[in-house]
Amino acid sequence: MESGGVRIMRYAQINETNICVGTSNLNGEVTAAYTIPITDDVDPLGKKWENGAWVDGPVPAASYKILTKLQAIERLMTDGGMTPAELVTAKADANLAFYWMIWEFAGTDDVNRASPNTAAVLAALRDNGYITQAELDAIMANWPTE
Amino acid sequence: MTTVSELFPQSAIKSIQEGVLVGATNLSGSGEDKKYHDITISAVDTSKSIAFFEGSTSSTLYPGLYYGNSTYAIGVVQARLTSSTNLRLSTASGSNMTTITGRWKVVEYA
Repeated sequence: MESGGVRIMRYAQINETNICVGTSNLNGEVTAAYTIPITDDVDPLGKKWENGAWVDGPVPAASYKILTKLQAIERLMTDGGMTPAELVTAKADANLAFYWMIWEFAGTDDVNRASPNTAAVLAALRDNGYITQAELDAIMANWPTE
Repeated sequence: MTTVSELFPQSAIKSIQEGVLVGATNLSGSGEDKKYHDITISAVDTSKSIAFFEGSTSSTLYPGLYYGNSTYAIGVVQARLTSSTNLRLSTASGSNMTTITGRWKVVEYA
């Protein structure tokens, strides 16, 4: 590629695992570690440089949705198998009072699958007999993704 | 009075180099380079060049109670030329700034 009479050289920048994390349009040739010359028709971002060719990179981990509190309750009722009556009982259960307090004090409507508090709440529901381990596993496994 | 044409004479730009980064791993340093990422560029005259970056670093900081994602875009990034062939994107923010994503540009004037 040329720009204003200057030949633009395209390069891919790879990381220590040979995954392309960037591309550069430079003013001339460079020689540097982790820098691979590429042609205009190549889009290497996210791909792996392997034996002189670009191959598909690793599949990114699932991106889990942040749920609202209402959606989280629905998860408890679907994969968790909890009934409305059980939810009402659990809400009044002194063993769970701390977790409901956090729930109310959090000051946000977001429920994050990755939060240790989410795991703690589910474990407390399991330990107090409201859901089984299998239901807890199902809640986490079937958490909606982006 | 300085005129616009004096400030921006014709053909003032000698070269433009640019690129994109997506989730590039930051290295650890100190001071203003607490976390940084270096990019090799074609040689420029650093006294006549300026570097730009638009983007941020990401962090895996503990997201707090019930909210936030596992990745926050919270780091402020500065771009500067540390040599005629090296563009450094860096942050003096916390050590949890693990990766950097954004677009950079180096403009060299004649």
